[in-house]
Amino acid sequence: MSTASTPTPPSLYMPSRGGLLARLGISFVVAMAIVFCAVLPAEFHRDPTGIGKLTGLMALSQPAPVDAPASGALAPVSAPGAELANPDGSSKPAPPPSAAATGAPARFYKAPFRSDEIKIPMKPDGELEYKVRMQPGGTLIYSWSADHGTVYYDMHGEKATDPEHAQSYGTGISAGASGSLIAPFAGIHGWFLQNQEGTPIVVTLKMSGFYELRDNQLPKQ
Amino acid sequence: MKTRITTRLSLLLLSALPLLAHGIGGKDAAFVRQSTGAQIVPFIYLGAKHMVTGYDHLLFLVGVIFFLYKLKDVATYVTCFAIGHSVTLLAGVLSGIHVNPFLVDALIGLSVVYKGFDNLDGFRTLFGFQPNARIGVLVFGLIHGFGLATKLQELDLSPKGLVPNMISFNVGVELGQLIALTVILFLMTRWRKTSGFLRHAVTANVLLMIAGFILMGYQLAGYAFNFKRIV
Repeated sequence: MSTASTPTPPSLYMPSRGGLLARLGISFVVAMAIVFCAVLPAEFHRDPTGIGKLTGLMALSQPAPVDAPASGALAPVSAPGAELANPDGSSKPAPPPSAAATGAPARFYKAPFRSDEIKIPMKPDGELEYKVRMQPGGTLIYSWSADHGTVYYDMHGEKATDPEHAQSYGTGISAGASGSLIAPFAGIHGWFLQNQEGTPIVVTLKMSGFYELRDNQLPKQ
Repeated sequence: MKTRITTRLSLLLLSALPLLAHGIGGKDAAFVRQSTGAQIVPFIYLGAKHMVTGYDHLLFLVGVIFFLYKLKDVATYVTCFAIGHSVTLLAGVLSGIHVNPFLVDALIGLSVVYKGFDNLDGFRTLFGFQPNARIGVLVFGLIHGFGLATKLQELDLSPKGLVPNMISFNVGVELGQLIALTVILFLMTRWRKTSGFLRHAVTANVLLMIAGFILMGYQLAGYAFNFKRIV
C-alpha cells in the first residue's frame, strides 16, 4: 500500500476497465495461439492445430526415445561387411536408424565378445570412476556389488568427441546393481562410484559384452 | 552423517524428477556431477549464471522495476525477493521438499503476468484494491526459490559439501540478480527519459503479460505431457 513500494503509475496513460480487460484477454489469446501453434509442436510434438506439420515445426521435436540408442546407433548387420562403427571414433555419419532397426530384438556384432571381472578397491569415503570404451549400439551386461556397505553410483557416458558432456543413465545409493547398457554413442561408459562407508570396501564388477577396457583407472596397489 | 541423510533424500527425489527447460545442463552439469566437496566459487558462478541467463527471472525483474523510480524502492524489492527465494531454496534442498518443477515454472510465468497486470494498474481498475507490492514480491520470491531448489536437486549433487555448495549457489543467485538488476535498471532509466516511454509503457506491459502466459502454457504443457528430457 505504501508509496515507497507501490509508486502510482501515471494514471493518465493507464487503460480503462474495458481497455484493461481487452488487453488481458488479447494477451491471453495471443499467448495461447503461440503456445498451441508453435510451442506445442516444436517442444512437445503435439500438433492440435495442424500448423506444426504445415510449417515444419514438428520436425524440431522428433521424439527421441530416452532409453534407445540415439542416431549413429548400430543397426543390426543386414548387409555383409557392415562393421561396428569406426574403431577410432571418427565421425563417419551413420544413417539415422529406423524405428524397426532400433527396436530390433537381435543385434549382431563383429567386435569380439568378452567377459571381465574387476575388483575395485575403494578407500574409506573414497571415490573413483570406472569406465569402458564402447561403440554406438554396443551392448554390455553388468553386475556389481560391494563386499559390504553401500556405494553412491552414477552410471553415465561421455562422447569420445565431446568428453565434457556426460549423459547420466542413472544414480542411486546401493550395495550393488545389475543391468545392461546399449551405448547411445561412441565414447566411454561406466560408473562414478563413491564409498559411503568410513571403512575400505571392494566393489566387484562383472561385465560381458562388446567393449574395450581402459588402463590406469584403478588405484595402484 | 547429516549430509549423507540429505543426500539420500535428494537422491530419492532425483529418481522421480523430470528434467526441464531452464535447468543447468551441458558441461555445467558434468562439472557438478564430477565435483565433490565444497566448491564455493564454481557454485557461486553457477547461481549467478542461472539468474542472469534465466529469461523468466529477467522478465519478472523487468516487470517489478518497471515503475520503480527510487533506488530505495529497488533495494526494498531486492531484499524481499532475496529473503523469499533464500528461504525456499535452502529449505527445499535441505528438507528434500520437492515441488514439481513444471508447476513451479508455470507459477513463475504467472508471476510475470501478475507484474505486467499490476503495472497496468489492473488490480485497482478491476477489483478496486492494490495488493501490497512487497508481499507480492516476497511470495513470488518464495516460488522462485522452490524453482531454484528443484533445479539444484536436478543436478546430481555430490553428497560431499552439499550445504556449502548450496549456500554458495544461493549467494551466486543474489549476485546474478544484482548484476541483472543493474543492467535492467540502467536501460529502464534511459528508456524512461525518452518521451515515448509512457506511450509505450502499456504496450510493454501487455507484451510482458503475453510472455508470462506463454511461459505458463509452455510449462503446463510440459506438466500435462510429463515431458522428459535428457540433459
